[in-house]
Amino acid sequence: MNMIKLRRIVQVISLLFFLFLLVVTVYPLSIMGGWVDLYMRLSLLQMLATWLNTGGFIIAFLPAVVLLALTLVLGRFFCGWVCPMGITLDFTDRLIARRGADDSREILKWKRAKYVILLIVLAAAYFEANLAGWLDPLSLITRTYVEVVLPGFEFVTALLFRGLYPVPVLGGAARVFHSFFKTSLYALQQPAFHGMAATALIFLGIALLALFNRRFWCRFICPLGAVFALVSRYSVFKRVVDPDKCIACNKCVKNCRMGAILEGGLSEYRGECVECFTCRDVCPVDAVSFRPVMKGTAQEPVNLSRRGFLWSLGAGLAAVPIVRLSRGGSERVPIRPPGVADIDSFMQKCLRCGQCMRVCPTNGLQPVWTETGIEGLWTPELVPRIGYCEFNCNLCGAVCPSGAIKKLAEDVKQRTVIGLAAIDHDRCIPWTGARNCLVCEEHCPVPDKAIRLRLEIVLDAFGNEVEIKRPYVVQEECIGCGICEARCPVSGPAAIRVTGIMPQELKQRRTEVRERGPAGLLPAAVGGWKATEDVMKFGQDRLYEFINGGSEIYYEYGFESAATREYALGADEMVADVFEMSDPDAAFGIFSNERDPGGVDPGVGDAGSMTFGQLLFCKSSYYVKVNYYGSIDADKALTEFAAAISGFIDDSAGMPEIMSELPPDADVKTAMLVEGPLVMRNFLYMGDTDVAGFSDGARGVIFDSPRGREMLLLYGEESAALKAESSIGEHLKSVGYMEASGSGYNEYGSDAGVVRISELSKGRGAYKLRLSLITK
Amino acid sequence: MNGKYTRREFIEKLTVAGLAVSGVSIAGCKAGFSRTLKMGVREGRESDLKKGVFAARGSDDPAVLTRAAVDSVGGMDRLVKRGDVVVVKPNIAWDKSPEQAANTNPVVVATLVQLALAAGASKVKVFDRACNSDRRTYRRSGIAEAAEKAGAEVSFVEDSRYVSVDIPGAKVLKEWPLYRDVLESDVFINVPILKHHGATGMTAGMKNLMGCAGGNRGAWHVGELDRRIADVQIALKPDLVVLDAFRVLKTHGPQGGNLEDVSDARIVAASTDLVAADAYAAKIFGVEPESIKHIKFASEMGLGDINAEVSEFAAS
Repeated sequence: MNMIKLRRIVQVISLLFFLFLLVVTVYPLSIMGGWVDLYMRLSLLQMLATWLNTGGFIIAFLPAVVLLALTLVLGRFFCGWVCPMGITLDFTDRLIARRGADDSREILKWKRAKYVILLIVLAAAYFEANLAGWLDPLSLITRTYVEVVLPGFEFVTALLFRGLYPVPVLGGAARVFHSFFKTSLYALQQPAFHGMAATALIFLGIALLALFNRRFWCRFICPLGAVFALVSRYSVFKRVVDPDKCIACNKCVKNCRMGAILEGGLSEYRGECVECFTCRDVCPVDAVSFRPVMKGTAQEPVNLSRRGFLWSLGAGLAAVPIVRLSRGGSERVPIRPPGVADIDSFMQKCLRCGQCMRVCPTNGLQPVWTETGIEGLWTPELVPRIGYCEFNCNLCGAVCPSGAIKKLAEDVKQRTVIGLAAIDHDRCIPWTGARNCLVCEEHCPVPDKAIRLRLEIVLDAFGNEVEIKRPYVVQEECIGCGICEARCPVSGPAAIRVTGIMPQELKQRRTEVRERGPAGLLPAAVGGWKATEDVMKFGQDRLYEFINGGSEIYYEYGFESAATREYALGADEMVADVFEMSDPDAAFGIFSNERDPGGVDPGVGDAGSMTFGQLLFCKSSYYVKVNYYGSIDADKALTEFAAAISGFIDDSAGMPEIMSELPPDADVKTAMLVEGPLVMRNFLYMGDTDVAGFSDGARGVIFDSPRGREMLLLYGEESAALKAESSIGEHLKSVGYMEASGSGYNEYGSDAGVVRISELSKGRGAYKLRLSLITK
Repeated sequence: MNGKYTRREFIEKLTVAGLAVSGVSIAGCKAGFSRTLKMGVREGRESDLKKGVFAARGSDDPAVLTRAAVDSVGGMDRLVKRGDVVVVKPNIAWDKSPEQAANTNPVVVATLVQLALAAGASKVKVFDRACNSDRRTYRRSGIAEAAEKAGAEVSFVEDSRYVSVDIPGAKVLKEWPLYRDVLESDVFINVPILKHHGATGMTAGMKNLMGCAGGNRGAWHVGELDRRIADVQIALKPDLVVLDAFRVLKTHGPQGGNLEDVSDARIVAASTDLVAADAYAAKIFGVEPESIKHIKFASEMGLGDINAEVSEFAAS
């Protein structure tokens, strides 16, 4: 069998397949789907590098493992038969290399260089600097085709076709071909990439190395080839030369494209052979064969010395800080494709292959040059002025071979914030002149619009009043897609620009966004309960409309607003009232005021109490009252419902500080926070004036204890406590109480009972008065 | 290699042929591209369709409503002659689904295609210049599939097919590149969807004509958008306007996205008068026609009757 012919056919098929995969890496990705990145996933080098980098094997690289197994059997066939870089170089070598040159004329020890490079890449990878993408041949060749060859092909052929249109006969054929090319081969629009000249020059440089030797890259540089070389040293199939037949004509030596065969033709350097079968073909005596044998004729491989090995590792380590530290200090935050979890894992996983840039339907994904340090070289960023991120598109994540860009579900992607837009008021037309524009608002794809318009009356240049709609960005809605920047009609830099956000954030789901205040805690559905009507809201001055008589106490504690809503489940009903108080103490206060001391603790909120058919609880600044009218187990229904409402309140306050001042024998369930004279009446009516000094900051709590009804009053300063004590005493005397003194206390007695005021020792910077009601 | 040519000769001949073709093409490029084609405004076709606006309501099937509306304005047979090239121009601007009411209803478009073909059209072309990626919008809107199934020639717009048109009588937009397929068509049917619009308040038939405009449309928004919308009508007079108000985007237009912003009005209306159709659209939307600037300007310029008679009826 003519192996060379077979090899050429396989090479053509491989390259065509590689090109085919690139060509179908385009919306809607219906051909080949997630397999378009197959070649990238064959890279054993990237598999090892990302493994070392991230500490985990990326499952997408399974094809590389399969390739590894095949190499152990067949040898370094990938380089000779499949690698698109190798195939392209075989082609360019033909054009560039000198005819009839002696392939064995090379600097032998340069063969070690690929091992040096491999070690540098792996060592750096271990310390989380990803250099593999720069030197992996599959990344390189993919980048070259994506950035240079395919766009160039598209540009040139489109130009030629269009030029032929007006020509009779040929023009018709051109239209047909052009149409076919547009639907099958071209990208959605003529691609153009930053830095494509550099990529082209790099590849040209590699190709021109053929002036020195054929397959220069493969012999001396390719780190992936180095991996295959190492593995193929132990392969089953080996090159075998029959020493009896060989006439030492050296034809094989001179024609070996890898310069692998030693002088004399009998043996080759282990690992260097790529099984192109040329030696077998040119051998005049058929002495060469490739067979599965125990021992082939290979010589020792071209190895690194131990010093060389250590130096390579050292170079790899030295590269790490140079690469990693180059990132810092730039104020430029590039917009990364949606699905980039965080910048570190992205840098570790990105293969710098350019697949995402190929598939991006607007051509918005562009290679980064050195703006984020050399580490970011050839990683993708979105440049909105070139192309925006389509709202419903997640193709970049679908084609990323390593998962550096995660594939996001469509609805998640629509809420992924990759950047934030900001309007430059010095460039924006409605802001600088008295003219409308609004293109940005129109194009914003977010359903609730991240750009909104504010109607303003401004003066134009002639002093006339004009109505202008001025745009502003709603940052909570903006996802940074960049269509506003892309469409802004201002010439030069757009008047609205997007800056990248890293790590990317997830916007809340629309239904999860709650209105602020009490109404936000009463959604249309709570568990299985459905609201029967819209929520009713009461502003700060309208509490009386809601609860009529009891509202004064709410105001004394501090009331902000309230809302109420009725729910139903089957025949049962639930009515929920939510009060937003001025602070958590006020919420606890009104709760403590209204609760039944005999109620049970339902375990909801900061404090709660449940009696038959009603559950009260307070949490943070909210006080919630739930009333149940129904037939099923009231306690369970109430507790579940209240717990759901409590779940909507993010903060939790715990008990007010003053509660910790209660004596150990206080009945906590009867404790009632006092913040004004109205509530103080629960202890004893002491007139309508603020005798205890609440308006000066006093705090109190009323409770029952074995001694009877008590009230604790806390003051920040001793003078305030003394003033209150004397003013309470004065009031009591004025209504007929007789004063008497004891050690450490004053008593005021009457027929109704005795009020004893004790001064307690200072605790935590507070001066305490304890008032006890002792009934006769 | 056996045969008449050696391999080298074959490659040589191929190269020469290739160079020749390229040479012709490059010459063609030089000649063709430097000239910008100019064309005149579209001459509307006089037909004996009835005057006024005819609005069909009361059905859940957009096809039934469309047929009823077209029939009551006179029927497609009175408009389309055998062999005509008909352009049906829907709104295919945004990458949204039919339920989101950002593009024309695909069933309405498909019905018009069917009617036109049944009346004897030789070809019905359906296209629009999308704001998002055209591949995506044609697909997600459902219009490409529905129109193709009905027999239309659906195509993406091409840059090379815009021609420069002088617009006589225009206040601001003196000339602009417009799509030649619309200008050259025998019958031009404008099929807009009624939506809210951030800049103009409302968008319907007149705004839909922007889809026929090439060049930098963003520039239209700077300053006098409503003026330009009124002006461009002079060059693109439609022969029939079929207003899709089956679903209406009430707010956050012209793209929308939230299903709660869509209201099911279930109306399809037909008229030969674009200003009249838009005035009726404003009424459906709930605003005074005069309050939408481009309707007011067009009416003042005498381009149509803002107070045209409207007959609403139940489609069976």
